[in-house]
Amino acid sequence: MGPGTALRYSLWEFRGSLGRVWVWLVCLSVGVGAVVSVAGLASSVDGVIRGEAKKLLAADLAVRSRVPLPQRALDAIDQLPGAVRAEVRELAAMAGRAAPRPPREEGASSLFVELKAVSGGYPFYGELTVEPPLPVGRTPAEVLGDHSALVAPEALSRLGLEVGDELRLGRRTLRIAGALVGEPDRLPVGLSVGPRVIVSVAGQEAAGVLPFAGFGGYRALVRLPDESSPDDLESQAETVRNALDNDPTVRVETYVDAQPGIRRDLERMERYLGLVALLSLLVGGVGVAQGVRAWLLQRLDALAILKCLGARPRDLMRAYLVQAMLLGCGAGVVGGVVGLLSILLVPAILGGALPAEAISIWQPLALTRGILLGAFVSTAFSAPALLVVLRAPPARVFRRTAEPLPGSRAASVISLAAVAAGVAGSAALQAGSLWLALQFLGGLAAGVAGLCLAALAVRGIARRVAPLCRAYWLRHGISALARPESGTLPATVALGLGLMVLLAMVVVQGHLRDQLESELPSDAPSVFLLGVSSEEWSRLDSLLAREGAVGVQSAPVVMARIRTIDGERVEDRIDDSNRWALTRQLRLTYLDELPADNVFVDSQEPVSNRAPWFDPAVAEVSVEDEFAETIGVGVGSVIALDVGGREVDITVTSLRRVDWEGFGINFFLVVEPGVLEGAPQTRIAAARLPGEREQEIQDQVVRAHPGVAVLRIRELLQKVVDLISNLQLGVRVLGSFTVAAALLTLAGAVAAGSSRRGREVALLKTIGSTRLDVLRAFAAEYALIGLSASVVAAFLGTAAAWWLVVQELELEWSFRPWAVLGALVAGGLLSLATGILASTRALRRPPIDSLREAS
Amino acid sequence: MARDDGDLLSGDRSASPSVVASPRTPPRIETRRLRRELRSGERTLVVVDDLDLEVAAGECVSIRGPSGAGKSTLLALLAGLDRPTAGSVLIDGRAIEGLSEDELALLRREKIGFVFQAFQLLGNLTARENVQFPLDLLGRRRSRERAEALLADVGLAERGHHYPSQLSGGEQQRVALARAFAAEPAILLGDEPTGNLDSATGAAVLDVMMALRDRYGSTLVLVTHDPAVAARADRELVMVDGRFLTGG
Repeated sequence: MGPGTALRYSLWEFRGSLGRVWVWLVCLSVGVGAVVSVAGLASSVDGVIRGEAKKLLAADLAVRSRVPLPQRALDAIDQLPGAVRAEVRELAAMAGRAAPRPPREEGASSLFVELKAVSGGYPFYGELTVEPPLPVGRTPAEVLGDHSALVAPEALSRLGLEVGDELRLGRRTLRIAGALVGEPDRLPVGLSVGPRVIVSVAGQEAAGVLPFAGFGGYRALVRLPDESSPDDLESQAETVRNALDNDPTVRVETYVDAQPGIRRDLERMERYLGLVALLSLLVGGVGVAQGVRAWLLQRLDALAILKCLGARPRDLMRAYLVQAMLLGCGAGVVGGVVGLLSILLVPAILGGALPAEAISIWQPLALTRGILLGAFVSTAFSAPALLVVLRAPPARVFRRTAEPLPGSRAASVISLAAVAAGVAGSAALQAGSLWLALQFLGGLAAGVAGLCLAALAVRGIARRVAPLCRAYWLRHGISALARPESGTLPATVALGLGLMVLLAMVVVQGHLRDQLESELPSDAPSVFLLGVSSEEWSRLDSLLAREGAVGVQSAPVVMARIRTIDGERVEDRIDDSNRWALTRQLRLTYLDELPADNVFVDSQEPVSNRAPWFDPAVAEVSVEDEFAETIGVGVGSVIALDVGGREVDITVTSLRRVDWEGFGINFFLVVEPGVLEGAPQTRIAAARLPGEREQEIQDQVVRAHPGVAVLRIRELLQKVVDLISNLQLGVRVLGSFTVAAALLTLAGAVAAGSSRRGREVALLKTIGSTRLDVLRAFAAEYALIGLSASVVAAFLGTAAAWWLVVQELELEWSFRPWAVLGALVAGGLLSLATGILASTRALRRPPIDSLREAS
Repeated sequence: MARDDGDLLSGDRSASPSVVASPRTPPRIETRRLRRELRSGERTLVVVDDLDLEVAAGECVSIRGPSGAGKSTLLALLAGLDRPTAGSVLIDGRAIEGLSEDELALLRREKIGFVFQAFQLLGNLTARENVQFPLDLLGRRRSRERAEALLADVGLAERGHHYPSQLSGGEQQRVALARAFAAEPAILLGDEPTGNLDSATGAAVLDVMMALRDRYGSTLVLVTHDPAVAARADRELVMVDGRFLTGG
């Protein structure tokens, strides 16, 4: 049979099997839709980032750092021919009302904000969206001068201010020149600790707002002459890089790089969500495999006729493979289009975390991926079922009881290899990394193996238990699970996989939420106070005591950067795992005794009290153990620090474990007293404020100490919860797709066996069963399938969640009985409802019709 | 072989085979001590019992016998649809029991046509598509037009777009005949071709079959219960318990 004949025959067959084909089509479409929506969303956002790269950088070239940029970087930029430079500083600050709130008006008078100070021609590309708009032809820095600010609507509303009112920032009172609605160089993704306020650099300096450790960054934005080509741009960037001598604290990027950090995160998110989506496609594949097998078993007569007419087994295999491929392509198109349309809903679901402009549904690559995966999975999963074609006996045209032709071991192996290749290939495509694909496949194999064993156990138990049941309908329902071709196995695997993913996600999310929303330890502080100068600390301490703050702690903070470790330059030790630690400005402190929540895990000598200082002749440091592992130091290592331009050598004499969850003041590096006292420093403080007066005391602190920032832990945690919830929403939605695909698989299995079902119902009715009896027998069967799948899913889903919670997130595990119970009930009910709905035709059909058909 | 374009429904019912085997040419169909056993629980049934048969090219042989005599099993063995337990089937002098499934399929595709009691049309395909399919398998050009012409030959020119379930029994069997002769087979095997039809329809269908067989010179082996049908053959055989009562 040539390809043309195979295609023609496939189309004829399709036409005659539309009633069945749509079930498989929907089965696969759900999975393809999930895959395409993830790929389409990622590609859409990526496309916007690339398309708007100049605007997102607001420049042709940017030099950025967490610390003030070195002068040599600025000099190098200024020497670039035709270059124009602007500066952007991102800091944390407290902003507040200039005038106290009217009596009895509730609300905040001060607020922790993300401050952006800009200068020169910022933004070189794109523009700030401000209400009312800024005057045309003038840069924001010119408009704002040192007297005005642009304030995000959220800050205005929380402070009860309007455009034109006055805002207090540090030592200055600024006029609010407009409500800041959008910035070209900021994507609303990631964690934001407070609403935005924009001032000019002059305004920031006049207000005396200084950087707090751990917050903020510095950028020099560069605009090159319009005629510059991308090659010019790259060579200018290289010039700046060379001038910086590969300083690891400074990063030079161009608009051509198009936000590599964000795109890397996006790609990572796409991989993980893509694999969750793939699971629903694979479950759909199970549905197709099962459906095709059941359908071919009903087509044995036709297969025999075809063989009689001279169709070779290989011709028929080819024809049916073409059908499977066409089915997959069809599902790819249907699911792909629905998947792409569905991403239009994402901005509304995420509530502002992703702007609607970032969505474009024209994503041909995502659609192509969906079609390819659909065809791939459909063809691969159909392969084992197509062995029926090989074994169909042509003598069946004369004798219906003709025995099947002998099976071919090679064909069985090849067909199973096709499934394995289909799963592995699609996982590799989705994961984009071999290691991630292998992890996924390992987890999937464990899940499928567990579910298969469970399904076999259920069949075994059903065989033994059924005869013991007195109720006829229950006996029939249970024994149906045990019969060959009952569909128990694939239905259990498919439904179990879906429920497993969903349950694991619900449990993990529950743990995260509980962890983040739980009551803080009773002795934990509720606020951190940053940027406290040594001189004002005693006054602030008194204020806190007067206002009823308890558990007040304070420590000096010295900023420093690691230069060398054991004589080796950190530049030579940087890799992806330690970059964050070795390129940042570290907060150090000096203490005589370590806090009680620190436990020593290694030391030069045994620590008898909480002061781990052993040798008066050596400057010693105690390092937090995980940080020590990250930067590669141990007891005896010598770290050379750059403290405000002065090099200080310190020796690691102890390692300690810190209980960060207690929210006490803690540091990675604690230096022995007597070493850093002369260095520039501020203080950090923490206190527990009376809950109902937290805002009021914060307002007082900010009024009395304009340079101090108050960071409220509860508020910050809520923002983290919101961010994680958005990410997990995606996983849950995709997990639901898997359950939907599983239910369709079950429905498909029931529909595929409708003739057998019909005969069964007819026989039962003929021997006197009422329709209710039959309904109860079916209900028992489907509820038990759902229940057995959910029992295994509950076990495996809980195990997967435990692994994620304990091993990956390092949280304390607690069993979630309600989630498990929910999975059990949902599995049973969904399976029951799907099975009964899919059996409706068989239940309604007059018995004589089914019996005639059978004869 | 030349094709006569005359209307088969009004053709000469008394036409005799146009091709007669010469004594020196090998028989078109030959069996040697052909045996087929089937397992039935613990018992072994001998369905075809050491049969020897020769059918010359162009000859028409009818096989009569009671139910369970082994007639249909013999047809299945002759077509390579079933494998003998022992003995041999030779088509044009070539033993087929050692051929692979693919080789047997090619043999049937090129040389053998079938007509069944239950018609055995493909329910998902229209009448025209049923006829067209064997031509497509052979890679014949203009298969669609040829199928339509064959349907016209059997008087169903206007019914080509109907599915089998929309046709009467006689019409379905005529479609089956058109399909069986589509590839101009050297051999036609008929298993009770009129068994599901009333006598008038059966006679009409038999006329069409004989006319087509005359046109294409096919060798015909016809299994039937009906003595009238059997009498239309050149040679009549009677089969009981897997053996011929008269010589094969």
